[in-house]
Amino acid sequence: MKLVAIVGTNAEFSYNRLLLQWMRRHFSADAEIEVLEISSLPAFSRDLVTSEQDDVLVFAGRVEAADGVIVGCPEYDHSIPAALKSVLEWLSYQLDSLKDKPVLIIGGSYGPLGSARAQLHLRQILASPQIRANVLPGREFLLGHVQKAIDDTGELIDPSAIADLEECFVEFMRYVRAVQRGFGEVRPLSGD
Amino acid sequence: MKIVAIVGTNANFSFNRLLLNFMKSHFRDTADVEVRDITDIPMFNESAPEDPDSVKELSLAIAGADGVIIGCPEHNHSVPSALKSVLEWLSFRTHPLNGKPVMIVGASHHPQGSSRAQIHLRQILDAPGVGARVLPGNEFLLGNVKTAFDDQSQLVDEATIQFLERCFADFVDFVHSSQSASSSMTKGESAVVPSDVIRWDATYDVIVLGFGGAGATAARFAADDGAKVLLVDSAPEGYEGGNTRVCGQLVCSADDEAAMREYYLAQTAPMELDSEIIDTYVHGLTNMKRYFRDYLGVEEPVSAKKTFGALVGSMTPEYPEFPGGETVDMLLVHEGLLDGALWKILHRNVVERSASIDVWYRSPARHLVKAADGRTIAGVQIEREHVLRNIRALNGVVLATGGFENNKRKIQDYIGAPGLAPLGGMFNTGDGIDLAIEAGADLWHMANYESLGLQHGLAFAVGEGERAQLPLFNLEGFSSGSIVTVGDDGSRYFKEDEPNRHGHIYHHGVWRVPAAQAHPHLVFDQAKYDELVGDKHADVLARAVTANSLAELAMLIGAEPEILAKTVDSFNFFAAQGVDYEHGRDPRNLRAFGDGPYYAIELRQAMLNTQGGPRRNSRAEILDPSGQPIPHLYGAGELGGICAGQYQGGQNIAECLIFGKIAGQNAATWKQVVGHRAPSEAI
Ligand SMILES: Cc1cc2nc3c(=O)[nH]c(=O)nc-3n(C[C@H](O)[C@H](O)[C@H](O)COP(=O)(O)OP(=O)(O)OC[C@H]3O[C@@H](n4cnc5c(N)ncnc54)[C@H](O)[C@@H]3O)c2cc1C
Ligand SMILES: Cc1cc2nc3c(=O)[nH]c(=O)nc-3n(C[C@H](O)[C@H](O)[C@H](O)COP(=O)(O)O)c2cc1C
Repeated sequence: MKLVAIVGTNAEFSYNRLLLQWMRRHFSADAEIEVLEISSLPAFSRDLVTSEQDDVLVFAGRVEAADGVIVGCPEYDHSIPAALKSVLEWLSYQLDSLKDKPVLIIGGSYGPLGSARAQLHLRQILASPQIRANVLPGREFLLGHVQKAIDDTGELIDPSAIADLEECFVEFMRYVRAVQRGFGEVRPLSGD
Repeated sequence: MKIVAIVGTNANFSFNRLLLNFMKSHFRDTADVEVRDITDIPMFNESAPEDPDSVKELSLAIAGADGVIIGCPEHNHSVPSALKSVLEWLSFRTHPLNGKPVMIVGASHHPQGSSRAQIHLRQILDAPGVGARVLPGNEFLLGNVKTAFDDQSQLVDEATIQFLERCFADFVDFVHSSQSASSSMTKGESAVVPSDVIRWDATYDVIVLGFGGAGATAARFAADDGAKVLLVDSAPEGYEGGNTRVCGQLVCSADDEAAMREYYLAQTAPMELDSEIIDTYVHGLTNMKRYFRDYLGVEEPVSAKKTFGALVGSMTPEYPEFPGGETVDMLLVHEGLLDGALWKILHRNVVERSASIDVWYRSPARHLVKAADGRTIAGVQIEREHVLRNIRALNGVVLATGGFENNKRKIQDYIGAPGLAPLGGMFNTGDGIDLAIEAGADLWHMANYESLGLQHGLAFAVGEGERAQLPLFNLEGFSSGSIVTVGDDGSRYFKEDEPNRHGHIYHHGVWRVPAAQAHPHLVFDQAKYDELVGDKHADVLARAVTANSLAELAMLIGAEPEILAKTVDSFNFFAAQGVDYEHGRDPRNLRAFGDGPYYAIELRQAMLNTQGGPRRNSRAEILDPSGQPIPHLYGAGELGGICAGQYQGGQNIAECLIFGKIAGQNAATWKQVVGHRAPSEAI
């Protein structure tokens, strides 16, 4: 199974990046995960033509070619970072890259809530009619106090977090296959 | 009422921009709405070394506004990334939206008109780093926007306009009520947090609030007495130092303790300070040379009295009329003024102690935490990286957050003045006063402030929230000949050629800063204009407005035409007589005005620094209204300093050095933990 993992921030240092890189290593026997950076993508503007944005097109191509997408989502001001929002706008404005795509949202934060509020926004955004992704229902992975859960070498060291994430990931792979089997034909009734 | 309206998209064409422009013109009688675009603001990036200029500029504009309107499109059921990016910048290094009243409006192509984006936007504005006060209810959603405007960009539907009017009226009320609701910029949480319900995020012996001269000194001496110290400042790294960094670097000193005491008593009259604190301070001033040697590593300080003439020399002493003045001098660490040289030493003394002093930048103190006895200060709530952290202080907290030079409301309340143009650090917003009030402190010296500049302390006008330039070039030309300075109504209000004493001028036996005018002006004739051009003041003259008659000029500067005409008439009469019967200006500086044209240049009363804050004693303990020290709470620097009445130059920094040391050392002494539950350490 081929997955892409989107680092949901343009910051130089990010625990969410470390978490995705850890997943790439940890789940390498089950899936090939490519970690995608967003920091070189331009800020979304309706006045730019997507087909002239080479970096965006390359990025979108990788997403479209993948069986599923993992988003590592930090929380900025109780919502998702603008840089991530900008990418989602590119992928949905003149493109349809995320349509029906199975998505797993994960996120970590310094506080105890583990980016819960940003993850809720991200779910709503991914469910909007312009995007219509298939976000894994019924599972959440929220990593609070990331600076303790991940050590200096980028290893996830909290055993219960590892167990949770493994369970989530297994569930996600089942979901990807279910979506591939035709689940993806479902359309929201009011879609436009 | 001044409102900044933010177009929430970077798109060239936006219905939300149309909507905000409609509001600007429709509500022009109620509010001055400035519509601002965000197209030039780059994508937020946490790793950027500093805020882009476009962000700084927007931040200042918001800081100076009474309220903000956000016109919010909806992209993918949420706010556009371009708007989110702006809000991230505004919650990172600067926090101009903190406590600011905000109204959300939104237009979208679809019938639900940006409803989901507006809900997200409310949640985002409520995040601690942003901290806006969003107008409750009043959801103005403009759906089907493609048919909502006519070709004049006017809203067509009468009911929609009426609803917008109702929402806006509610917002105006909301802005007024937020302005009167509390005098503090902080929000939400209960004022003083009881420590038995608190989880501590970290523990120190001493916490020092404010990394200016007083705070740097307190932290250093607390560390030298063995304390583990946390020093916090709301400014980002590189911008700490408050007024101390930008100040003249002059420190008052004296040789003769008895003479200094006499002089100081004459200065502070009619204030009655307790004699212990006077003795402590005067003793400190007379030992200043030793302080420089022992604690600052400066063997041979430069004497301002011996080295500098003119401006600085005239401050040693600043009040030659007072007994004991001959002992007054001001010291510098080297032969240079306004160059941060002393500040660098104070700063270095902190950095060199990094083993015992942690420094947090961009971390404003928000609240004090009290122990279970309801009195003792147990710690501080500090906002760091958008999160309120509870930091425990075992032995003491030092308030050294400087004055309220940049807090318009406090200036109105305590000084009774309109906006004054600040000359110093822009992060001094009087937070320490709110913290002191929470702790139950008494306040003193609230109405005292110092000034500097042209004539009695005027600067060329700047916009609200902007720092003024200290006009230090040759200024005599503005106080002699056919030129007068007039107040708001167009009349002269002081003697223009009187020497500047930190803004104070002679007033029936004492020296006071005259009542600040909202828009004072220099008014002069063509002859003066021609002189000023020759006198290298050409760039200042670019600010001048001109008219052929005084009546027209009065209209241009918001003065009363009759009063201005009478003022110039009288002035011409005084010039003819050779006596200024009104203010006593030197006859040599009087010259009648010619026939016109006339000119005016707008000025602003300059604000050097405030002196008000919590009352304290000779041990730098902060006192409650009954004169009892509030346990574990100390203060130093211009926040409630002991400079009151008539100010002698150099005494503010002297205060920082003398009382910063006392506060730091007393805060560091070990104290028994006052009856609160052993708090659990989180994080
Ligand atoms: C242009 C100018 C020239 C001057 N020249 C002289 C001179 O030559 N000699 C003299 O004696 N005086 C002079 N003064 C006055 C003198 O500079 C000040 O009174 C003195 O520096 C005050 O020091 P301070 O430590 O009390 O405050 P500041 O140096 O202003 O430091 C206060 C610090 O507190 C921080 N702060 C504010 N709120 C918070 C918060 N909530 N949490 C954390 N930190 C916070 C601010 O960011 C700031 O860094 C001058 C002033 C100006 C403006
Ligand atoms: C990337 C993108 C996503 C959009 N998503 C939504 C949406 O979720 N809901 C909606 O009402 N309109 C959506 N729109 C269209 C908006 O109605 C329209 O751009 C905007 O709200 C109208 O205001 P404006 O002219 O000020 O941009 C979207 C437009 C773009 C470019």
